Amino acid sequence: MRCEDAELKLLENPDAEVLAHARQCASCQGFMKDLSLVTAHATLPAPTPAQRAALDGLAEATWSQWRRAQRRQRSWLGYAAAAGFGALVASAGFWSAGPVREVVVERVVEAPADAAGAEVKAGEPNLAALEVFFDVTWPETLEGDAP
Amino acid sequence: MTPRPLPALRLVPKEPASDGALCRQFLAGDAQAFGELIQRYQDLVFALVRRYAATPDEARDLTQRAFLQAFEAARRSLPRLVAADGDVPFKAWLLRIAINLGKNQVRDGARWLRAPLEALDGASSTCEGTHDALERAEAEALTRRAVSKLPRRQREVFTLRIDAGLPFAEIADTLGISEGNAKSHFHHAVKRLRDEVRALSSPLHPEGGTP
Repeated sequence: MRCEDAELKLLENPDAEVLAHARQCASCQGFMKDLSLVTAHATLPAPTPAQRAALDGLAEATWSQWRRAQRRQRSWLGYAAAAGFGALVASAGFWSAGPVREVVVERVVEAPADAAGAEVKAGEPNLAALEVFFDVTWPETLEGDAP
Repeated sequence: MTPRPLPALRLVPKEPASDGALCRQFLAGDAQAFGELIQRYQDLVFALVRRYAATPDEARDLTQRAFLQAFEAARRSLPRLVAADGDVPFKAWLLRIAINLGKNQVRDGARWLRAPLEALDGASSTCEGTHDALERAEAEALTRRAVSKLPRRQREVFTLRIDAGLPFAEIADTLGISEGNAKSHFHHAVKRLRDEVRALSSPLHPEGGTP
């Protein structure tokens, strides 16, 4: 048996084989000595009556603390539910208004009854009056030709 | 006509309710079940958090917080566990929460060493007042200081074993590791503590003097 294995088994309920090994093994005996020393030094002193008295009424105090925490949690849940409901109502009102209707703004311009007059606007020259007609047709066939 | 003899009544000791049953009862609003769970484990939790607390009141506060958090965990997890037909590991939750709260307490303030050492020093000096007692108190203080320097898992296993006095199987259950692993951590912790204490108590070490 290896000492490492024996030391692990010596920690709790060692069987006869392990104990027999430990009786003959200086290393395992050293470990047992270290274990008992470390355990004894690390163990806290027993709680004093004053320390034990600190636990008096712990159940009642914890119960009231628990109830208070639960009430607080419920009220927060209530606020959250109310806020959620409000948001739901608001959004329902928004969505129930239906799709947004498109509004087309159109400029209607009525043509004046006198179309010619429409061309003449105030402040602009009457170009029709300035019209100069040139006769650009081809003259008589022989006109101007050299005989 | 002779009256029929009454059947012999036998007193049967009442089986203590399981943690799971008590959790279900308290979540249904039964304050008595709540109180019974606290009565069942308050000494254990107190023993565990005492190492981390500066005063008895602080230890009580940590104990109460551990219970409240464990009950909250039960409230959240119980429906799922009931649906899965699983047991309620209330004790494991409680101890793990207590250890974590203790660790946080140490992290939040350097209170780890104050209370137990002061309590020990006071007790030793008033009771014995001899040179041997002082030496022993010093060695104990050094050991506890060394416990605070252990790696996390080793410290958890060590305190569950030493402060709570749990068997290794239960330590393994609480920390979610195997029993062999728990023993191995404890074994390493003991060896490390032995070395640390030797180093700290060495006259060359600057911390080796007074605790």
